[in-house]
Amino acid sequence: MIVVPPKASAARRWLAHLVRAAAGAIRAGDPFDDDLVFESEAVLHLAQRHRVAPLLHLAQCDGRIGDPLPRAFADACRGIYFATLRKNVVALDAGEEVLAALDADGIAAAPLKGWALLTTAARLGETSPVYPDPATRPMDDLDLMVAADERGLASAVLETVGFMPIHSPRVRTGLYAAGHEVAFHKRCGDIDLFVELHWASAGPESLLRGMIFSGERFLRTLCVRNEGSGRLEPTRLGNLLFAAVHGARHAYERWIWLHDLHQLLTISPLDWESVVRAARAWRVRGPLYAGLLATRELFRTPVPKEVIAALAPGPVRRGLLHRSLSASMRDEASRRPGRVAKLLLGESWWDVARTAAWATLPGAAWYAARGEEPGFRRRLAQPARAWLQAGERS
Amino acid sequence: MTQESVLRRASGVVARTIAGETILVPVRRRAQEMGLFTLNGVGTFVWKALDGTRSLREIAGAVASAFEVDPARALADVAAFAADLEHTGCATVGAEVPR
Repeated sequence: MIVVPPKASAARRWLAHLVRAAAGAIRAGDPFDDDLVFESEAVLHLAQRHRVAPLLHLAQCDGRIGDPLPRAFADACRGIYFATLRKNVVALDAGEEVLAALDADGIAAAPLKGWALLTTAARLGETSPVYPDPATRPMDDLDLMVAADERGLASAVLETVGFMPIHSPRVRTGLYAAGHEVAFHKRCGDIDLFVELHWASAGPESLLRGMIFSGERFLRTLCVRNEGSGRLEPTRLGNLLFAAVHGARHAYERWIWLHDLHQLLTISPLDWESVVRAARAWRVRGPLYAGLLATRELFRTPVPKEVIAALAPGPVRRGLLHRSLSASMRDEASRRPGRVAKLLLGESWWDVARTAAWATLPGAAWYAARGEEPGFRRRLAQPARAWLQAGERS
Repeated sequence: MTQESVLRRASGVVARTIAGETILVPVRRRAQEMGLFTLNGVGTFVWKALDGTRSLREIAGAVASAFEVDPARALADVAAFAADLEHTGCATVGAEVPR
């Protein structure tokens, strides 16, 4: 068990039970461990951390959660549901404006993550998105993918619609040179909106460096034009692969990312062969394996055993991966097991060794903070440089 | 407000139609004023008609024919709905259409 290990807290086990019911994996009223005390505050804290409180409210309204939840807990989930609805409606409206402005300037761009799942059609020829209810998929920001060549122009367009860059020009220049995303902010009445402009799946400092793909490649091969709006949007496979990589980047620390995978896998029958083929081609077998395994455990998502077997790493790496993922998903986990899990998600032991060497060479943090990706020689020279610069005024 | 009043959707109100219902979010300066409104199919129809050119009577006529309801009842409902929208700041009253 990875997501809910046997020694998990009562709050975690309760929340797992509730999200399973919300996802339709178990029936309302299915028996549960009655000895477990339902501590409203602890479960709510966890539900907020995992961004699933709106799902619980909707599930209770739909009668998918059997016994009535404690009043205070249900009211809190209801409040979070409506606050999310309000914020997402405004964010999606601003997102439309951003896409229209980019389109007018001929910049190819596609929404990612939550934004994509709230707007792109779940099935070909239909308009209903993966999450039909915009309140059920909380978003911290609007993630947008562009080609690296067009990131400067896209930034300028964002400024014309009122989104101002968060970073100073100096930091931004560094990020443009060697990062993979830059953030923008706009205040809309009492609501803060953020756009994250991406031009790659991860930065060069990432522990997933073996599976970085460019925005240009993503837009060209994993996106299609919507027949209605004429705008680019990720295909179901594109959403699936990006969700897997993004979840892996954060060691699947939020259950809503697993719910994203669950939704993408269950909205209609899936051609699993093409999923496995694509995972191989994009070198993301590890992230997808971990995501599918965790999703299957948490939501009882029907994933064929053969698919899991085709994506799984070798027995030693698999064992270590399960241990580190499980440890990273504990409520009070440190970041170290998550970092180990990310390392183990590489395509091979060679990938793992190369990334581990890169991450532990001197100067990794020093260069990452400046958004630079130096060669090995410069990295090795960094301690001397740091020593020389130690007396300089900052 | 009279039957000849012309209403316009207020700026600063974000609207999004989801599964036949429209959600109105007034975006205000103070967080404590936050709220949202959900419109059903008829409400959505009226909301879209509030373009600043048609009187409430004209809109009620369109509602009566689109939803096959009694014109007098449609006029009363549209007037009440328009008053609610104005009260919540989602719509503003413009000039009256001269008879």
